[in-house]
Amino acid sequence: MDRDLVVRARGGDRDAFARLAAAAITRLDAVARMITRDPERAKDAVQEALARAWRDLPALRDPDRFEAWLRRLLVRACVDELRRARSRHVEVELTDLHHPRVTDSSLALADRDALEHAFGRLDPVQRSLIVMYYYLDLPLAEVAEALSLPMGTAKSRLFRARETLRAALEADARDGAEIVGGQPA
Amino acid sequence: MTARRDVDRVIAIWLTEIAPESHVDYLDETLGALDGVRQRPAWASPGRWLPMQMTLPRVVVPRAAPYLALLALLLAGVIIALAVAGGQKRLPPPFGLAATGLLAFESEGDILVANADGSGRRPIIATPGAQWSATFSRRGDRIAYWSARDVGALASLLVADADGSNVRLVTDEATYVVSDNVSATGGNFRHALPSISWSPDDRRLAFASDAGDLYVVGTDGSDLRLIGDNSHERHEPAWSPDGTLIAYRGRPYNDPYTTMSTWVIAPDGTADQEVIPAAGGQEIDHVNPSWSPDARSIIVHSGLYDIDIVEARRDANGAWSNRVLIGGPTGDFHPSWSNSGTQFSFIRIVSDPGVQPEVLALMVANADGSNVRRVSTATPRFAAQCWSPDDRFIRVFAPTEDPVLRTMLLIPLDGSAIVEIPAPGELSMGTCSTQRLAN
Repeated sequence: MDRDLVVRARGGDRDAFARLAAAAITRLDAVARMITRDPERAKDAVQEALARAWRDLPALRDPDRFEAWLRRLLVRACVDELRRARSRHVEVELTDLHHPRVTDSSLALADRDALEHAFGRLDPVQRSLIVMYYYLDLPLAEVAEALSLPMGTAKSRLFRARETLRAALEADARDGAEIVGGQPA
Repeated sequence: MTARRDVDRVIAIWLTEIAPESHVDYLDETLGALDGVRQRPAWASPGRWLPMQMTLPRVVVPRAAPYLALLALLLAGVIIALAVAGGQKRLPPPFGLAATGLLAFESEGDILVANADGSGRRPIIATPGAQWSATFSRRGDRIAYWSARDVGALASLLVADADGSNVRLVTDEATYVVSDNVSATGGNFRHALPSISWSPDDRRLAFASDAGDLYVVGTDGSDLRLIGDNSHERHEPAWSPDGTLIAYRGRPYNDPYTTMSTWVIAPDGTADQEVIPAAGGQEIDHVNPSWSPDARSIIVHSGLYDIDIVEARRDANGAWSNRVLIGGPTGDFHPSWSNSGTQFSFIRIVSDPGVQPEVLALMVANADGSNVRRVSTATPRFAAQCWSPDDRFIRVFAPTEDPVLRTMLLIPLDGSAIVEIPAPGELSMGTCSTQRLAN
């Protein structure tokens, strides 16, 4: 993140802001997709976050905080987007969202399915917590700040979200063990 | 421990795998849409433009201080004369049962009070900036609270009379940086939920900074002391009813998550001792250790996955031991001693594991952990709870349809109607204080 660009954008320089947005938008989109589970809602959230960032940038005290500040705007926009969706009773699309990377990880397909389903059941704030803590690898204090939660609330909600995922993995493991156990050696 | 780390690793790997790598094709569209968005000038955000000399002072010291001091002396004389003539107002004992007075809470940055039937809701501290963590003195005649005039500013610890008058600065040194967010984004004070604990004689206050430094200070601002060595962080102090110890939650420095344990320390900084070790798991912040009125027992929640209610108990010789009071597979949180010391309350997860959102219940048990019962079908939140001074109701926070809003419920133990006090602020969640009055 170029501090000078932030300072210039804060002073009203649209080109500087465009460069900041261009540098950030792919990452923002990825995070928003993971939280909203819907590419269109993710796009809306990213656009909303960037619009707010542009509008309120003059009030940003510390240019070095731009990245964290923008992340906070995005997470709030995602949560707002999902809240609006819920109030309209619109089903959030849960399928065929991602194009998973092919990795050499040791995750079993069943684990992925279990996590996918459990993650889909989390509320928007819990999803945001999981994404920020485990994917963005942010310290819990920053996660709490992004969601405007007290530290303790963030901890407890992260804990409960994680417990949901853990329970899904364990249930999956039990099911797997039962199936394996039923097979002849 | 290994299993826990494995779960963390699996989640992290899975998220990395599902992270979309698609090319974003709406940058130009997004930037084009900004043509209709004007930047909001910095002055639109008070937190940004207020000059520092306006934001730094917490309490205006009147230029006419000598005259006011003289006036105060005269006033004190009148009060003393009235007390002698008419008999002094009776104050309640600092611990144990007492009559129930006002409930204090925060809403939109102001300190409010309400009667125990929900009536009489009114602000008693409504100054610019934010005020929070209002805590009545043991005898109910004063209130301590945090105040910050601006986001990003240090918070001050203040004391006022119970009606909000006579505000005095206790300290604005070495305390709290509330938030460095910008107010234009809804900059908030929400992480700053430090507890304030009055000494039994109401002469001193204990508090912890956000960095985990534990302080004791006179309520007149004198003798501010950092107590304890630098071996670990100290949070959420609770002064013992006999005044000899301060219980707190401790954790190693730079450990964000896992190893909160319960400690006691003497108010002079000596005799620092861990009394409930960390279970190695997910102990949660904002769990003020709860003292029994006889100062023999401290209860907290603790545990790795199955959160239990754990008690530290000291014998007549001052030796500490600990035991699980409420165990088993249930998740039990936020225990709080009743004022009589015969019962304690806590919050239990009553839904099946993995069910979201979880269903919580307010439970009460006898002092030895027996006779656990649910006292209401109302659903509380994970937050501080407290007993009314007369032990007739328990105050909890409860969710609303809007996940951002919450409400306070006063749940009576005699089955009578629940009293609801709507829309306390986010800052109310870490503190629960009710005024004690003489019977």
